Amino acid sequence: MSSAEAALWWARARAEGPLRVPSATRTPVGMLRLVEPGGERCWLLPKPPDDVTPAVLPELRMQAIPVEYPNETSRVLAAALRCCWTDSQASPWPGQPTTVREVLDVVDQLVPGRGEEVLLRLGTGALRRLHASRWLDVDDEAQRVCFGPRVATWPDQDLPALRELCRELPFPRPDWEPDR
Amino acid sequence: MNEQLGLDAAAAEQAVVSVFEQIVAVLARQADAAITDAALFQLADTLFAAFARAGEDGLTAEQIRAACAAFPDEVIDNRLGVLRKLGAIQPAFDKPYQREYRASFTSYVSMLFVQRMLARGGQSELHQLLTLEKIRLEGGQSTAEEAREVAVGVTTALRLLVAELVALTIGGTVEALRERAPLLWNAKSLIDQASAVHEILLEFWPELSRWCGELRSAIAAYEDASTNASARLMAAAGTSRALNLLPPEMWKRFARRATVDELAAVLADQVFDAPAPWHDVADLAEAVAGTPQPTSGRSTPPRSRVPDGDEQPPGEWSDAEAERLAGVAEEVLGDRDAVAVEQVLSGTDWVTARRVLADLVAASNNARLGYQLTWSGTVEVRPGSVPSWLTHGVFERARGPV
Repeated sequence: MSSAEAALWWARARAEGPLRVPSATRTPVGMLRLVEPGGERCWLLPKPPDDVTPAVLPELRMQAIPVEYPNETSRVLAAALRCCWTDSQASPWPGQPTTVREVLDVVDQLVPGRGEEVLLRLGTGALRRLHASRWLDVDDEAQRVCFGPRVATWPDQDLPALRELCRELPFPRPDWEPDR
Repeated sequence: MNEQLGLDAAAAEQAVVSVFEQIVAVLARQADAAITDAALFQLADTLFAAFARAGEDGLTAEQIRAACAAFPDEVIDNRLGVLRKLGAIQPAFDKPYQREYRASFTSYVSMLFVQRMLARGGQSELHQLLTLEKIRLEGGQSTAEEAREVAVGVTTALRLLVAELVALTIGGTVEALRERAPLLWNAKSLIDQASAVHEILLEFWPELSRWCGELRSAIAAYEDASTNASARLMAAAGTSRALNLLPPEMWKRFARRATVDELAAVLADQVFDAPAPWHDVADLAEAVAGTPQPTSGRSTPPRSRVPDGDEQPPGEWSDAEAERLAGVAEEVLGDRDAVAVEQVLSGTDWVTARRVLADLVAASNNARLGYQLTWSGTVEVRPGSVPSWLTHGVFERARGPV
């Protein structure tokens, strides 16, 4: 692949976010290739050198993309991490699929005492946001939640902290049902 | 659907007519002398096209009617009357019983001009005017009187432009401002051109310094007004869309079709891919750790300073611990009224004995239970047995619940 083509892939990824392409596509230089569990398609993500992440933006005094309801969104992502990251010794991606119900159950245990309606409304909003930014892949029809490709961009040195976070989180309760 | 289309079309037509009226206002004799229907403008357009095809022979009234067959007869008659009266169409030859007409070149050019004004609100005309004046003045052929007229004309045009922009920026709705946004396009080059004209005027005709001063202040005012109006438009677009006054579909299409260089230019100052927020691990941990504690939402009511008294009748308490103690006590006492502590504790190991003793003490101390533990003053030392230190005491029923 020529450097011009690689530059084009980078520009596309910068404009559109992670790219879902057929597996036959060659990996451009400096990009992370994540093969989907089915194997037919794969994700291409820019991988900056030295494990640099957008977390350095505040250090550079640059504006990061703001998150709506940042705490709620982070909690839902953490809950999804609890449910999907079953083998904590491996890296999170691709993880196991889970259900919307289980993710919301973990959130409910984190913040007990909120009404079901509030939980569903805030939780669904957070899941949509995470789906839109490709942190999670949420299938509304099947009520299924998987990791999105962006989860794989957490650098390796962050994984111990993530494991620690996961250990602190409660498991989904098998018999829990949101009463609507 | 049709109704919606009709409303939209009517609104667009209204806008078109309003610009016509503004343009001809300086020439009109009466307020209702301008056309009120955009179709009449199309008729004139059709008419001039027909004249152009006809060439030097011109058209007869019948041919004109045939060319404009799409419009009702009485409308055509009315238009022909007006156009003939004002000289937009004239008899081809100056002789009686003339049947052929020809069209006026000036009228058609003014129509083109009107259409241009329609699209850009007159700002580009101001541009061209400035360019022409600059060229004319640079030639050095103009008189001082002409130069003064240029200065006054440009000053007045700029001041009117400023007045409109300021009114829209301060008092108008954002929608109105957005509609007039073409006035803001190329503001920088307009300012540059006006400044160039100003410099030439000052260089060749120093005696015009007073007019030039006014022109200078008009240019400065236009600069301020356009900056303020742009700022308001940007603010109205919102922070999240500040860089794209275009709809997202357009950006996406651009991203897919653009060449490498075009994409690189747009994204030159972006460090990371733009669209998604980043969830740092520290943020996740903080969000989980900082979960709000559930609050009942009710605070305890203030207590009266007066003692509660018998607010809580003794019969109403229910206390699992007291019930358990009562059970233990009854088990120890059996059907007797009193039992020696030594007897209860003998034959057990110290761990069990200690637990039983603790329960007995608790039952005795619980004011709601009718038991009491009475100790004598002597201590017996019993090496090798359990307990090895023993104070004789009696656990007994009190005379009645306290």
